[in-house]
Amino acid sequence: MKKLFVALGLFVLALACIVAGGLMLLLRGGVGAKAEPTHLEAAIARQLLRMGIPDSYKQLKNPVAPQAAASGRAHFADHCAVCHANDGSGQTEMGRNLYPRSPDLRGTETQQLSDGELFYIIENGVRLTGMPGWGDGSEQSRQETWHLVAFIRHLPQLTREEKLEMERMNPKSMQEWREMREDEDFLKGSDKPHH
Amino acid sequence: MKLGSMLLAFVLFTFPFGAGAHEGGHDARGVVTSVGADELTIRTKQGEEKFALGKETEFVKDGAPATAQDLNVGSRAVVHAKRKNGRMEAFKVQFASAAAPKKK
Repeated sequence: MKKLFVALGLFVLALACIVAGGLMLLLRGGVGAKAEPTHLEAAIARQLLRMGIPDSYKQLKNPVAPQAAASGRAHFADHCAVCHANDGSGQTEMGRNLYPRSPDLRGTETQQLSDGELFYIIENGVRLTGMPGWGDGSEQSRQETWHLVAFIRHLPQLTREEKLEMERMNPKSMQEWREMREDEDFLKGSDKPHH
Repeated sequence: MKLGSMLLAFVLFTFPFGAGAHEGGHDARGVVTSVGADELTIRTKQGEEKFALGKETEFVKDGAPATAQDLNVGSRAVVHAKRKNGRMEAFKVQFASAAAPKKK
């Protein structure tokens, strides 16, 4: 009985130390997103992420053909590239400043996830990150998500031609559209700005 | 589930050190006056502007992927750049195949 109390006491003490240490660091550094996540933090978060995905999803295989990557590419350019970048590197102003940062989708850590895990993340999002859950439960949404999974698998082989095509599909403000047209007209020989 | 969320929040919000600068960019349209391995100069309406060229600088000729070797003096170019290490570094250079005739 005494041993049980000692073990319990040590456990509570360890827990209190962890919480106190965390609070101290939190109060010292604030809640800003600018800090670079530590390797330990990233590793723990990745592990928790994988643990949080139901086993029933982990086994799923992408039912669509790899050719669906073309459809997924257009969707990705329109919805995902603002954070993940057209090439999946995460090197956008949004992606670089999120906490945690947008992962490099071409890298091993993402590519080693199963089709089902990728599907689950896109459909349901990831809590306490910038990743929203895009799925609405419809069959159309599921199909679009599988197309995105196909495109994520294609990302390591993305060509420059495909990337340029995606740039034309990226969402743009009126100002950006005007500037793009002015750039194209300038290259064709015009100096007149659009109004 | 609540415990899981709290644990994840604790993990994600711990060790918040460091700071960074707001990202800014600069675009310029002009005619190429010189191009080297690591620097591009264009003449714009405001005068000459120099841009550093790096390994990651992307070149696009007539809307298709190209290389720095395809860029010639006299070509019209649109340069998209960002400040890096105290210099304006071009991350994308779009240009036309040859000095295009000016429209009247």
